[in-house]
Amino acid sequence: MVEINPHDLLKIRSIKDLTGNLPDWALKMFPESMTVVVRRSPIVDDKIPVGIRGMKREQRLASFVNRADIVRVTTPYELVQKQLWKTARQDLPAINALPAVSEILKNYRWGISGSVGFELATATHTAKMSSDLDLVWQAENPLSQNEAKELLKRLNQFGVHADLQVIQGGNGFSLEEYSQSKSTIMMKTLTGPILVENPWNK
Amino acid sequence: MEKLHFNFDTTDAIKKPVHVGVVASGDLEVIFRPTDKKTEVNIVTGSDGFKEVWSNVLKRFFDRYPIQANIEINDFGSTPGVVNLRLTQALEALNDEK
Repeated sequence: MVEINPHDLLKIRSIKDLTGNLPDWALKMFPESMTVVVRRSPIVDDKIPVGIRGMKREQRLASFVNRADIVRVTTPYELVQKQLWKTARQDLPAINALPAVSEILKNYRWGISGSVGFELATATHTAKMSSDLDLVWQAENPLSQNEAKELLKRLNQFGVHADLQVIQGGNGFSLEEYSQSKSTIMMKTLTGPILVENPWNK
Repeated sequence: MEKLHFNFDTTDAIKKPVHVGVVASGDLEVIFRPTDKKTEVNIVTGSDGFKEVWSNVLKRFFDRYPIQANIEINDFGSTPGVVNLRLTQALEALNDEK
């Protein structure tokens, strides 16, 4: 049995495996990918909290799928290992930046989330010209604020806004927020967001 | 995209501006600025149709913390939990700097 974490992409068999009533946009969009994104929320009784993506930013819908109905799990890290950007839409700034970004992050355990990750995993046109590049990183060692600023500066020189979410188990925080922080920053946890002073203290 | 505007009758004037949050999906940016006018909240949000939810979140906040400020919020599809947390964080930042 594979482990399932926030940001993982789950392919399921049928739209009927999603709980709740779906709005029109979801009924229309979902069959193209049959893929949902794992939300940062507790897994209870093998019911996985997931989100359905639409074309627009506000088109997000929370739902659940049973572990038994999952056909395939794709992690944000696999997208990097397979270098899926090579066969993707190069005219999108966020995708076009990936070869250079992967060079900068070659010694990091990083992955691609957000609309670009979804597009690479499902081969659907989910990202837009204006899409940000949302990345995740399983950090081995803490960065100082200056090191974080320096890394973000390097990642942001390709005409697209890139942020790195630092992943610590089920938790995550924005490296950008950390790099600019004067006191507390937001840590997203499985049970909701909290404010912390030092996000590197687990 | 939707623009929302709210007014509140509050009296605890803040002394300096604070800025918390980030421009990222599921998050929001909150800016408090001192004002000598009535408390005003201006929200730009990518998620339409949540005026009622915003109104409730803000009302609860100002009931507890009746600060007088000009507040600007740029929302990128955050949940009410994240909104509450960012408002609390902005308040903490105000108190830290007093």
